[in-house]
Amino acid sequence: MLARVTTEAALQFRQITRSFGAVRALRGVTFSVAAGEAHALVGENGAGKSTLLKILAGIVQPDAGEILWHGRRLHLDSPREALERGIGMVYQEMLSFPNLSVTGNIFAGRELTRGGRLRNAEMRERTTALLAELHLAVSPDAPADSLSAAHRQLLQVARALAFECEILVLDEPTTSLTDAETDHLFAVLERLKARGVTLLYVSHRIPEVFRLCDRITVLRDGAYVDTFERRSVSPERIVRAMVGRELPPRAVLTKEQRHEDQPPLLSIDGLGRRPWFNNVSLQVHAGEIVGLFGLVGSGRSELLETIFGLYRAEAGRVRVAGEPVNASSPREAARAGIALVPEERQRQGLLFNLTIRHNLVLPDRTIRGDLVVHTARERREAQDLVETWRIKTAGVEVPPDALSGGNQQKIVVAKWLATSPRVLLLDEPTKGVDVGAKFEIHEIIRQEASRGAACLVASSDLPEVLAIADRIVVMREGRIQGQLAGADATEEAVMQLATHEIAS
Amino acid sequence: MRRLWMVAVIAGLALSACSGAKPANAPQRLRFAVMPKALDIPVFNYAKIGAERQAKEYGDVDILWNAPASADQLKQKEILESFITQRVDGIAISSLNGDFLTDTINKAIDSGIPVVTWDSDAPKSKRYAFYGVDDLASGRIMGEEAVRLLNGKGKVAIITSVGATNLERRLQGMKEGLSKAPGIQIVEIFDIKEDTVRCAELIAAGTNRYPDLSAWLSTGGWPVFTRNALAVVDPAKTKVISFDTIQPALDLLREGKVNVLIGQKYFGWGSEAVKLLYDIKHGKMPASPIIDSGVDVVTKENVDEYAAKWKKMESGS
Amino acid sequence: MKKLWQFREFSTVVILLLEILFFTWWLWPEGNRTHPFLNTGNGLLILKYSSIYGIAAVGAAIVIISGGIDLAPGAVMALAGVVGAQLFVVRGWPLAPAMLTGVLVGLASGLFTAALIVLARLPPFIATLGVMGITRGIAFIITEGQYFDVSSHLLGGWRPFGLPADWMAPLILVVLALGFQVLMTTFQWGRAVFSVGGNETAALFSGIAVNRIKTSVYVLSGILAAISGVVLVLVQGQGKADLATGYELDIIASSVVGGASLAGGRGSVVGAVLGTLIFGVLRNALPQIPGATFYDRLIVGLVVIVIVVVDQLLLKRRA
Repeated sequence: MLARVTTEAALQFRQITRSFGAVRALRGVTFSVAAGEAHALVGENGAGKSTLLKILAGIVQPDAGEILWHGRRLHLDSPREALERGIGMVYQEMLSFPNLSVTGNIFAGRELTRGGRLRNAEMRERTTALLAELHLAVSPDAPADSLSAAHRQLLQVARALAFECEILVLDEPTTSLTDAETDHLFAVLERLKARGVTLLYVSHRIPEVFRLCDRITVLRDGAYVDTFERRSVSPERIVRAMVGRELPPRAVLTKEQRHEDQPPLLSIDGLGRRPWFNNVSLQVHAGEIVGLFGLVGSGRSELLETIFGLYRAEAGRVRVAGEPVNASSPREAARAGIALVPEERQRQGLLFNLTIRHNLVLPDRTIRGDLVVHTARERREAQDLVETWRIKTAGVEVPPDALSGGNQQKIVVAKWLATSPRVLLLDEPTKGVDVGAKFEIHEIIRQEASRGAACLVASSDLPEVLAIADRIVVMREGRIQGQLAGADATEEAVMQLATHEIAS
Repeated sequence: MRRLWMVAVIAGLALSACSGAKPANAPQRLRFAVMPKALDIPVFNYAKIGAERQAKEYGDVDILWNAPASADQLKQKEILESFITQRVDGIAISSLNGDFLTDTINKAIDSGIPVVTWDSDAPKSKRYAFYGVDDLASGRIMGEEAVRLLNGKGKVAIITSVGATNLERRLQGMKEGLSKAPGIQIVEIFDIKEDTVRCAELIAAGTNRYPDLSAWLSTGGWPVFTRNALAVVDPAKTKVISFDTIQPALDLLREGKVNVLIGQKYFGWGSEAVKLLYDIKHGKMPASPIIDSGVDVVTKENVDEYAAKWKKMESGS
Repeated sequence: MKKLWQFREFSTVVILLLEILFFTWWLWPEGNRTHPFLNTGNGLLILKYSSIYGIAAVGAAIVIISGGIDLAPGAVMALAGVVGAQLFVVRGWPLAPAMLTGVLVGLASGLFTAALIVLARLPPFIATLGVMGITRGIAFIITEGQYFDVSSHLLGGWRPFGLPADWMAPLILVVLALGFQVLMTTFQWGRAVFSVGGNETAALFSGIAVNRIKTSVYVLSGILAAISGVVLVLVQGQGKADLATGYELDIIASSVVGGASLAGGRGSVVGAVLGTLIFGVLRNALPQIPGATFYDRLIVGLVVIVIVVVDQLLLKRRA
């Protein structure tokens, strides 16, 4: 049942402009969201979507322009105000309080009180009702850190819904969700649509956008491009509007280019570390890109971290170019030519108290064991990297906090590539990254492979794995379930391996 | 942001230029530094009152009252040194360790700052005068009182703080006074390091260890500065003779927990020292290097008379 | 390239200058008497006593920048001073070896602290709290409550390296402060310290030997505190167990006022030294105002809060 889509605009952005130092994040963006519709906002990283959402949430103030809410000017000074106006935000980054219960999380900062005392019973009741409505099978008293990442994401949605909201704004909500969980979420969103709730949906995943939304607005480089009716536009058209250019077809490497005639560059035999993974054996040849696919809990990240020396394996061996590598720290692994682009770029990949230059040259200088910092030389190298990888930044002498997610990710990748690793490990390299940057990063990986590196890409994004990998290794619950290559590597086959027990 | 800083700097410079617009612009006020042993010894507060009152009387004297927060010889030396470089007009000090401060006191005098000592002397220094009790004599009085109360027989324990010259001399006097009675035995001398809390602890420990103790003697007022230090002492069995008459000492005396108190001239420490410095600055040297302030021997008999006199001095006579 | 005023140290210098200007104005003498505050003797005194905090503050600042914290400097100062004094006064060792042994005590303390933090994985607050108690306790055991009179054993007019004794502390401070400032800003090791403090996880992932860095900063802090303790004993003439009680908080406050963030990853050695000067000036000038004796703790507390608040505001503005 389609919702009543009126032409009356519920939310209007008018000439919104915002700069951060020299970076112009938004340039006179104007568009409107109709009441009761599901409206998608898409764009590359650096297009300005996050900034626009921050302005809507009251976290950042626009330099110029205004937001109209039902025709009246909206002046938001804080997230609390946004909430009180009925704007519910569901964020990408996991903002839950691990030490609080589900109820506590939902009401954190907005607890129900009577004369200063908490109305625990009432909050619990409302939480239970909310969980039922969302079909979330968790207890309202469960501590948040006992929930899976996917459930924590749904918790964010619940948090936004706990209070009457007229418009629900979702920022990449399905990043950590499986297909099943995404379906669940979409079912909830459809129900909300039917109730008349307006949805503003920001995502890089074009299929999802087409599934849920009525209209699609595209931003590019901080400016408004166009708004399309979903029914009358194709996904390719959208991508073209986002990227501004045609994307090159994906190259397929020949066997020779994949160096399969030579011994493998990375060789893992019987590697195990309980309870994360057990008896893992795989090989990657020079020039090969192996995709490591598995759902949440399959042990992919732990495997990569162990190879990189963050943890000691309990059993098994790792060999690089035939030489055994027994790395007991990332430092040793890096010296042996292994590089890891970690999953959480903010927590594991970037130093926000140092400049972009420092971040970019750090692994290289640390491995080389230099004593002194040569500023001029480093600055040149950093600027080269920024140019080569098209990292959008005002300069290299600023900290990376003003950069968009995709550009931050590029820094994490670039800094390791500068060390010319023999083995490149990547954990969810395009998580939270837009389509354009995603393709760029995939190109980067292919270039490294063609230079002779062995690449192992762990990802729960099936389309990505299918697109980039020469061979797909599937993991489930800490074990290798199987390998697929060439024509055998279909979505169904991979998912089958990832979700079902293989009779051995 | 830089503009803000530049403005601030200019403002500061402007301020320093108009020094003439300063508040207290009286002609040639004298700055006297009065230094007790430490800021946390309550008995010295009366010296402060005395000093400030004397300064008010003179009208052109400012009192700079400073000392380490608690007894610390090094810190007292540090503060003394800073008063020298800050070129005060006179210093009156009660030293934690007179010998340790001798060189510094001499440095002050050599640079033209007169120094007098009070309560606790630095005898080897070039100080102009010392105002305080004759510690030796006072100690002797206490010893003699003990002999009298105990009829010449019994075990006594002594409380003191090692280091300060005046306390050493009181101790010596006590021993002399006690030695007149061969039947009196000093079982132990406790060092409480000017810490009232430690004093209470040691009295409790001592009472435990020596159940048949006949008397406690103290070279300083720590046992009587609080109510509970003497709580464990049984007045029927054990007599208490202490220095200092600061409350609640007088109340304890009335209650019978204490038998004899030796009172110093607390206000006099401040007022007399300031007088000495003032006279020196105006060319009048002290009559003698040692000025005996005299002591008050207070017992149950004369306590009320003493208390009345105290009230008068505190309110301002 | 950063402009001069963008350096955090610049603000600290400005605060120091304003402070000096303020007290110069407030304490202006009448007539043509010498200025009680603004004269060379007083200035040297301030430098002398601030340097003692300052030397230890260099080490403390580096630890704070690395994301840790050290509560033991005061106690280590005392133990180092006591050991040095005892060897010199009681055992009759020559001065240099005695004091050097004191410094080695600091090295040992630093190693022990590092072991607690890196091997036993104790939080730095707890580990250094424990070390503070242990070192202070050992100092008391060695001295049994007495003190060693070092000044009487030093020849009168003692001139270390041919300079007046009063200049020793400031000179050592300047050399150490400049040396470590250079080390922190132009050497890889210094950058590694900033990295560990900024995001220990990311530093580890970038290949930095995090444990080695942590060990080095605590060892340094121990050594510098010991140097400070030895200097204190020589300058003041007494070695006793309750030296430098409570100094650790002033030292940490100096680092914070100088730009260090207790979360780690920010700060500078020079800033911490300037911070000790700011407090040194305060401690010297306040007692000259009649009636201000009891206010110095209050004012120190207020100064710290105001500076930290302004710091936070400026940081937010930049983001």
